[in-house]
Amino acid sequence: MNGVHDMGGMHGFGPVDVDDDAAFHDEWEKAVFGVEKLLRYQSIYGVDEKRHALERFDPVTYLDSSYFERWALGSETLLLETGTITEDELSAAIEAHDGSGLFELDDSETDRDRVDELVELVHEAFRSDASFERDPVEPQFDAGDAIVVRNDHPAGHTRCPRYVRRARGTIHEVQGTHVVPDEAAHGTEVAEPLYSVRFEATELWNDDTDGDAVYIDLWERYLNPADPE
Amino acid sequence: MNGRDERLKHEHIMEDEHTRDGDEYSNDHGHEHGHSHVHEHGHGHDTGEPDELKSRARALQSLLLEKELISIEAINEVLALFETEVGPMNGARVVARAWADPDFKQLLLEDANEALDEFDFEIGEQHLTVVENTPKTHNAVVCTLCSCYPWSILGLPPTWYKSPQYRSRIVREPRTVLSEFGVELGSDVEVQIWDASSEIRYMVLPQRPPETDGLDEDELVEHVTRDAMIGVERLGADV
Repeated sequence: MNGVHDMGGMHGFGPVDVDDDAAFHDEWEKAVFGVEKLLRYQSIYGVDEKRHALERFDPVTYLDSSYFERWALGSETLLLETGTITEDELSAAIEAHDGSGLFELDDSETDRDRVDELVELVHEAFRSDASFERDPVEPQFDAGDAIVVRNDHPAGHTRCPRYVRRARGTIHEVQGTHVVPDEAAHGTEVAEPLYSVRFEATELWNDDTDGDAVYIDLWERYLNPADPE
Repeated sequence: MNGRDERLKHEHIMEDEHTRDGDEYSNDHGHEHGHSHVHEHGHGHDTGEPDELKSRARALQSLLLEKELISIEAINEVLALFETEVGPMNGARVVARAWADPDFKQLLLEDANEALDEFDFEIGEQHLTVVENTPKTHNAVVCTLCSCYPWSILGLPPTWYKSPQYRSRIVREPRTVLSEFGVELGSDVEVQIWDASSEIRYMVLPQRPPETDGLDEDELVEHVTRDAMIGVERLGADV
């Protein structure tokens, strides 16, 4: 979708705050991170569904919220959409804690075996390989081939950013066959050849660049063959 | 260099992050992990009061706790693992070995995942590609669409990496962005940006600094920085 998350090349954000270096700013952000990992480790939703949930925020909310605020809002969206929680349950929880601020949470009411199970899951999931590579599908392109990115504007999730659409590039490397996020975000697993594609900076930005090249991974469905220059 | 040239120390990375920006939370609560609390009374940065979004998220967390979909101990375990098992010290060990061992370097550039099998990192692997800086090329990593980052070897990304400023600009005006990090590149250096749009993660292999001649692998680790592996710092002879 053509959302505000698709930021490559946008103007107006100003200089990078190079000193804003920490991964977390406070304990609230750490809690959001931990909760997100636990939900993901339990496969309540997948990474592409998560990304798409954030992309679907209205643009003002997206830009006005911090990184971990987006995570918190995204979790809420997906917990509701997957039926893991209901609107009524959420409203009741919010009402029950109205005015409590960031009250303390603890495990005192949680079954001990369940706590142990979740801790065990954390260790298992942290150490397991999450591969997105699938059985090989014959690639249509080889390294060195000229391509042009299709000018598609899907309303759903895609990992083909606007700034490369209609641009001519060269296949740098065939990356194997990977799960297509455009489908996975909507609950279907399909795998396609994935390519590392090189674009000359001037092809993307004409003279309005001080770079030389951008490399980006693009799935076969994003690409058309191009005549060599 | 904007004071950003800190060397990586295995045991000090997270402490450094805690103290930057004057954050007030610290390790003085005597908790088992010392750094993984989720039950402090946090407050909004600007107003001194928790804002509505943060309170709402906390209420959601209480519901999840009730449903036994989360536990505080498990959350603390997640944070402890991400603070101790992953971080730039992993990447620094990989870079140091590549600087010391040409055969390893070749394997790393051809098949980073196979190269990483040599290490005892107790973590799940991500698909990884390592790109090499040379006197004539400089590489930097970004994710313009969200904030993908090679966490298995660099840990959790710094906030600036996740910011709209970095995400929007590094692909179009990388020299200007790099100069904000204190990196000035000559016109004879080709700047290559790697936008991580798939599940493949990118890391930069910096050039070996000339002052490291004669050092062994363990000593070389001390000369590798996280920023150099992202590509917002440039190590090597032609700086």
